[in-house]
Amino acid sequence: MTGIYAFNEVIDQIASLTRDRLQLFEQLQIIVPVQTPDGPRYQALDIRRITLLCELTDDFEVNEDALVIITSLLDQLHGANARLERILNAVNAEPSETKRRLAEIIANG
Amino acid sequence: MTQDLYATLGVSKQASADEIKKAYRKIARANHPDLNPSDEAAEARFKSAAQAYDLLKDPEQRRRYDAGEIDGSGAEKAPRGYYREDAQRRDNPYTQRGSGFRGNPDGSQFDAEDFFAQFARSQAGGGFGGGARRDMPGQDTHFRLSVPFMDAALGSKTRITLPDGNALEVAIPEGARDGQTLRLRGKGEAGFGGGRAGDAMITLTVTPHPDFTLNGDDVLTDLPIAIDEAVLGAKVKVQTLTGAVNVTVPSGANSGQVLRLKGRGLKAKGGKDKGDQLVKLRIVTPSDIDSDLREFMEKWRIEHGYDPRADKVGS
Repeated sequence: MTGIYAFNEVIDQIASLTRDRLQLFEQLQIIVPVQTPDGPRYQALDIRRITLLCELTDDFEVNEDALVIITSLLDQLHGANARLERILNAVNAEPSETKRRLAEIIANG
Repeated sequence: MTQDLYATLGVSKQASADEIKKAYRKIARANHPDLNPSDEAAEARFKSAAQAYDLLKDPEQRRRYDAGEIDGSGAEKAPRGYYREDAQRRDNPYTQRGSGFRGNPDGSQFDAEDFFAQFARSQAGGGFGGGARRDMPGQDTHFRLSVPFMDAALGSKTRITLPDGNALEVAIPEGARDGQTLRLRGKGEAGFGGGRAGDAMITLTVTPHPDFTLNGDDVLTDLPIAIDEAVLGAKVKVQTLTGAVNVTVPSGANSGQVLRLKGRGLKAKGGKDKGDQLVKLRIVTPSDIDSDLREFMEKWRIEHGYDPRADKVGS
């Protein structure tokens, strides 16, 4: 966990980000800061995500509703990919006999 | 199954057309079945909202709904009719007995097109009606919470602040991990009708500890020892998650050697067992190499010098 930013630091980091905009992202629950005793904090991952949201808003003129939909789909896609990768890694660690059997089942399924 | 369409969308009866549209879109974007393929509760919420919006967006339909002429599903609440109004209809089954009913595949006047059209309508109606239950669970809300390493390792109680300013008590279970999500049942958004409230989903961010790191259920620590302790062996105090314990450093200990403290690790996920603490030794020379030590080593090396790299290739 490298890089932890406070609200104002996030605003400074991302040129196209305003206070209102970050607050809107949070209100839409597409950005959820980490609650800490010192207040909300943002990680490097949040910065990248906010940057993407700003690009979608500015460069592609994505509106609020579509933004929520796109992030939801992205989150689901990444979640599904991550789960698939874990399954593939688990399968890869199995003996080749098991791998062959699974490959057959998948091909015929 | 009449539902209050305004309540379904979470707006008042006086809401403007724009407010109704906004409310619908807010529910739709979060609950559309194509956007949330495996969430049945979301689908039910979407269907209810879609049905409510479908009716309320049309000013005439909305007027009739407000006036009580149609119910929430758009079905006529027809004024009571009289039989005589229907009695002379051509398709009155009572007047056509023996000539075959319309809609009956065995009848002479069977219209296949109409039959399947009706079938499709009833299917759609059935599917929709099934989704438009009055009682649906509310939506889950998501939070992220930073937890100090020790609180996660040992378990603790803390609070999070909700968007409405209220606080919610959160019990961090013993052995909680970074990235783990806790589900607080019924602490999400209110349900629709008699449906239960959604859940609050709290994803933990465990702040790293300067001395303890994790490998699965095992806790890794680093233990600096002095040269004399390494050579002669020693009893050394080691911090564990639950306080200090004395550990025996064997005579002739090496840097990188690992001592295992059984059961001093983190509580395993979903189990009662605990991992171990792995203590990695690190020999630290004195910051100031005094003349005594230097002389002793110079003398010692003459007779006892050894090559620790003897079995390394290329040395």
